[in-house]
Amino acid sequence: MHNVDPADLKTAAGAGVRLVGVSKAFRGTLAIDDISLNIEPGSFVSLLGPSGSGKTTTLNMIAGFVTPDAGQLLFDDKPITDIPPHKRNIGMVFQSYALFPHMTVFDNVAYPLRMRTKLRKDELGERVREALQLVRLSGFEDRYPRQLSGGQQQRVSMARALVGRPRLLLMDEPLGALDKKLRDELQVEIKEIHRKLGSTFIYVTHDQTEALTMSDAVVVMRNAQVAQFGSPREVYEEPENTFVASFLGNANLLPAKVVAADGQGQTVRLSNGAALTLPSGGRRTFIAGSDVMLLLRPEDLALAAPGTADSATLNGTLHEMLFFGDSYKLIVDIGSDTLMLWASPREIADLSVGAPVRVAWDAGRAGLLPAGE
Amino acid sequence: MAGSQDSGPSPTSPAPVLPLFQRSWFAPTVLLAPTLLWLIFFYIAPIALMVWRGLMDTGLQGYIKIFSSDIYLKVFWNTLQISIITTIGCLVLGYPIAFALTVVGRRLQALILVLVTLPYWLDYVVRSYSWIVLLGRRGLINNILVGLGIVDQPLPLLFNLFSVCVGMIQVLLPIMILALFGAMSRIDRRLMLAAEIHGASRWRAFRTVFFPLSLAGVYSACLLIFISALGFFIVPALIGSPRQTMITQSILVLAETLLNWTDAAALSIVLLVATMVLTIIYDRFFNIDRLWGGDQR
Repeated sequence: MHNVDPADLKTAAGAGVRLVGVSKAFRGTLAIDDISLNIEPGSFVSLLGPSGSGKTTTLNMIAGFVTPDAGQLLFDDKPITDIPPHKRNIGMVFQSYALFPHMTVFDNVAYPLRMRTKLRKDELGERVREALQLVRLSGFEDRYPRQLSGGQQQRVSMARALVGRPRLLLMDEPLGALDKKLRDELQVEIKEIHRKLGSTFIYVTHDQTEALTMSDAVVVMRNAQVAQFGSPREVYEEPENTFVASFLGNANLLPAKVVAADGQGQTVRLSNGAALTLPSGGRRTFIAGSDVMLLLRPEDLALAAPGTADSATLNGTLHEMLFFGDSYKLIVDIGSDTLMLWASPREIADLSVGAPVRVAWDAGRAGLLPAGE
Repeated sequence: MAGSQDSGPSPTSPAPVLPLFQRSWFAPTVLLAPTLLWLIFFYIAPIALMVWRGLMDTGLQGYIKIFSSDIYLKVFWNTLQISIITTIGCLVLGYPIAFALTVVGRRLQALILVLVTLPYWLDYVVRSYSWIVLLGRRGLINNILVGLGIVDQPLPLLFNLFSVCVGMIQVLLPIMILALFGAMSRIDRRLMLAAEIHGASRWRAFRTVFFPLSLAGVYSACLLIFISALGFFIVPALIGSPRQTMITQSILVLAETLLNWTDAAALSIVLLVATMVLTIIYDRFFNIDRLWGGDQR
């Protein structure tokens, strides 16, 4: 197995990265629109968003490949906007790996050391072998990139990025080109490497599961702006708008109207006439009469057991049921809206499409979001 | 073509007898036939005839004469020397322009490409003659140099090795630029970013990543130019002197003026073989380019 002493590789500390009011336009189109972010030293932060949301431009700006039109970029409170990429002391993993095809694995990994340090040959070899061990690719030193599989090339790319013990590591959809099984495996490894190194990791992805499982904090981006910045649980459980709610995981978003709001809680009426009361203490309160969106996550819904109080259920008809092996995905029509939820094969029993169903919902976990968008 | 010949029914599975037009070799053969016939009739047959006639008439005499005569050795040397200088000249001038083409914006790139190919709108006999105006004893350059008092006597710029090389470089430079540009644009630009982010300045990134990756393209472009240069005769005929006589000019003189077809045939074959050997090498370098993943994506 690999027996690298983490202490050997541990960087001084991760770098803190701060973007202050940064903007960038390409040919008149804003790629980044007045973004401010404060990335904690040593944290693992994901930039998550659909393509064209500005996440890659943000990463390229931190790398120094793109100069901001406005705003400031700071590492550890020092402005670095004018410092060229090669002096920023960053490691980077590219989506396409960008390994040097004319160099062996050893030379690829040694590249940052040769550019940045004046290590003796034996020290250099030691550091390269250490980095390759960390990504579990020992023994591949003399191969050329074209002789490696996609997953192996990805590991070489990681070794090259971290061999110089940079305080900041950037990753641009590093697992995008790999199949699912390999991706799951490497996610765990990247997380482990992050823990061992202690550097700050900034990770661009459009895969919400990847962002949620790996990160300390998630920056959800949309239309060149930050839609929400918070811990994975915050952005998942307390989304600030319907975009974030539906981008992360599955979300049932039902248009509703607030009919009463007082100390007891907020009562909303759905389009089918059902009235639901959410307990007070929610993050957001709306005045009576507001149009809102009710957020119900599928995992907070269940088929109601017989005898469940009517106030805690929604009545509808089963529209569709899809078998997923360990569970069924149910689509339930309630008036003009639909709900998606999961049920175990045991609960399904003799249910069939078209049957009336009662869906129990967890008032404490439901959320209200501003309508619109 | 030959490789796709039907080897008949295999012993393990008695293949059904297919109608002629369904057999695997039929379609390619029919489609290639016009081209092959054309090539055989107009290229391969005349060359074969030339080799055959040369050997039948005088045996190896022509070849022996060529390789033992001082005059022909001088012609070989001229050809080699001029071709090498031309190739190096084209490379030195063409590499920076080709590189610039890969880094400038789309609009400037289109403009430069137009400027590079513009000379082809003029026949190169005309372009070669225009060097006489520029390089002659009373040409533009000498007039300026003498007029400014930089030199006392007009420099000998025309009808010598210098003018031949200048003329040939001018003709071949666009090909060099386009060949290099083609090879360079297949280099993944993100590799330069990867080099920069990992500590290399622009110049070091160029030296350690871009330049080595461009070498395969450089080799094949140089071979292309060298092979083209070997067969030149108009430029040295117009703006060179007899001292710069190249192989093709000799062939012309032998065949048309001296009617010595034996030597002309032998000389042609030597040029042909040299070119073919170089083409085979060229092909090998092309494959190295592929091995390095130069044409991926």
